[in-house]
Amino acid sequence: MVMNDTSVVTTRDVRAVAVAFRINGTDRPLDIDVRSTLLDVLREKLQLTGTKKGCDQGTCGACTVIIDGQRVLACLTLAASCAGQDVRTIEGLASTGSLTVLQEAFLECDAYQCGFCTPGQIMSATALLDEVRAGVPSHVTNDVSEPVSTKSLSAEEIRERMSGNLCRCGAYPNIVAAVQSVLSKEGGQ
Amino acid sequence: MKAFEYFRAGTPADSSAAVATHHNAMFFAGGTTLVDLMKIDVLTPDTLVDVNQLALREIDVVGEAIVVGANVSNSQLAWHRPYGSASPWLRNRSFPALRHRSATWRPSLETSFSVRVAPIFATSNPHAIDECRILDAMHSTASTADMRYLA
Repeated sequence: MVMNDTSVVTTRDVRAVAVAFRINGTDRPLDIDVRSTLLDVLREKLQLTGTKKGCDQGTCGACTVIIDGQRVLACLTLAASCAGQDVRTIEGLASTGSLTVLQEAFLECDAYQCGFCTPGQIMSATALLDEVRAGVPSHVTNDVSEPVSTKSLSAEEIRERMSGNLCRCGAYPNIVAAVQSVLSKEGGQ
Repeated sequence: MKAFEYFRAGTPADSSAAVATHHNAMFFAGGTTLVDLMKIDVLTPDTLVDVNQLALREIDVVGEAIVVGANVSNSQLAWHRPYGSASPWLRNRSFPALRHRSATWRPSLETSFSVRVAPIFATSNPHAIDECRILDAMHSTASTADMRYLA
């Protein structure tokens, strides 16, 4: 069934849809199965396997990527709906050849064990830092009359804001420490 | 996942028309619930009408009510000042990576493109919203393509 209304874009082949999005700063036009999740396109079509498939149902956070500046779960995102959007994956963070401050902090704080959840943890924490810099509150923010400050972010705040990223090895204390170390470095400047 | 047709509508009226004229069609906004349920064949639409590219991202405070567009994400509402930020109820909708993509109101032909809600403030704190009561919804009918409020 094809719509005749010209104002509606339609795909003649139900299995294929053309999508043009930016992946880590590079335009990547692709013909994809319309059913594809962003996670599967990243891993299977673009060989960007740093983004991990854990639960594939939006529970574990291993597939966290950043789209247009906001962290999202690639497993629950239809790739077709990302047309024109800017997608950033773990492969795009150190693209200039040097690790980000947060990546360095993960190394220094030993914020991982097996490493499977780590790309998702780092993408999530990268967006967390931007959210905190923008002053947005979380569920555990006590005083919402003022924007949150990077200087006053408690461990409880970081745990709440990272609560969608599971780590079966239990590296949580060191993950919190890594995020705190980045914030303390910023606060000291 | 069952195969489906995929439309990107140019206007709210077009998207309503597409859903109304296609058998077993559904709106696609955030998709965080829809995609999850389509993967396990709980929901099996024949057609998805993507409304992501439509604006519908407004949060307007009108009198004592808040008008929330269909594409307003949970986090956009939760971080909205002053209402979202003042509301533990809104701030706790879900984890940011999920709620950046989650539409607050799922558009349908019945409760369509924006809703007007009345914040109910906590008795103990005049700045904290306990819950919101839905007053009405902005609706785009497929037959006349007009926009009107439903009581």
